Amino acid sequence: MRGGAGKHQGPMGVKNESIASRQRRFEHIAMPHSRSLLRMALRLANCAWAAEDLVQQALLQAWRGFDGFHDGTDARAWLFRILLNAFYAQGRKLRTAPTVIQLTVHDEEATSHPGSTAAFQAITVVQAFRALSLEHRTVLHLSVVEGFRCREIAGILSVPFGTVMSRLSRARQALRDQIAGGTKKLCESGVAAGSKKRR
Amino acid sequence: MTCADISELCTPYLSGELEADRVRAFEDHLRDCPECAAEVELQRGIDSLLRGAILAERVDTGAIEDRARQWIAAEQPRRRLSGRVPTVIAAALVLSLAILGEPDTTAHQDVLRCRPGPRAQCPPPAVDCRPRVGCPIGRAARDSSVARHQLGSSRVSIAARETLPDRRSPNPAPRLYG
Repeated sequence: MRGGAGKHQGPMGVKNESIASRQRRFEHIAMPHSRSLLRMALRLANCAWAAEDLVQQALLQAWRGFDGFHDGTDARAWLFRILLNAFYAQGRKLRTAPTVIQLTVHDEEATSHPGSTAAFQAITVVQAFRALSLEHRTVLHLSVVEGFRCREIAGILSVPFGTVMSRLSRARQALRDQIAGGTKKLCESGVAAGSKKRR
Repeated sequence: MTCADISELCTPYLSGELEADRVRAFEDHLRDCPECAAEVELQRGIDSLLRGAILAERVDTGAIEDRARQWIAAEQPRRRLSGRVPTVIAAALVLSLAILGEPDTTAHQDVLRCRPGPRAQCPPPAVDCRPRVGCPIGRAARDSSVARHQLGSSRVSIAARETLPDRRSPNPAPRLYG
């Protein structure tokens, strides 16, 4: 019986070790991408608390499925796929959540220097981006902000390559339309504010 | 390459996914066509502004990472338990096979401990070995005791019979000995 107990403890010790090393590997591979994940989640959920929950959920799911991850493959793309799957799984709830518009650092700088052209352009672009559809925001964020290639985006979103190309093209066009509309509005409000001051 | 081609290939060109020979043709056209060049430059500028604005966003993931680590730590005992389940099932199977293989000597020691003599001298069973529906141990004990009785063998079968009546059954089995 004693021998049996000893044998039982041996494999458990090894198993504990492997869990610890698995945890270290996870820390090394997945955790560094949490900021990127949160940025993406903020674009998806449009609400800080929901985005944070989403990232947590994604990290936990990544941990559970970490055995399926192969070293040397793109961890970032893998994590983004998990994040998007988690979002679509509870998407309806998140999409109907009230939209909380946050001022970014860039916005703060822009509002503190309202006269600068760069600030004006940044505000316009960010506001135009927020007005886009979820589909367009997602694909633009993955391509422009995260720098994924169209093939990688196709893998992340589980859609054909051609779909990504056309979606990106439409998203860019929609962004430009929004910018044009936003610029017009901003110019009009600026003119209105100027005329009020003059009076 | 035409202006329509430029409009179509602008996305893969900006993301650096265009093949080398097509990049050359694309850029040749841009040199010759100021409208297309302006379009591509405008798109590049918008991308740059958007990337800059979003990457300048202050995101703090410290709390999220801590909570995720706590969840992961809480997951581990469950993982260990699930790893042991097959061993436990295998042990239970081996044990039940061993019991079923020798029902009289292992599972029902109390039956064999009955001393010779009248029924009243038999000690009460240490374990409840009444036959139950679906209970292989009880069924095996009952079968073996009945078989021994039919062979007219011994006091052991009488004692075993004594331990067997199912008090919960609405229709108790008839007593063999008055």
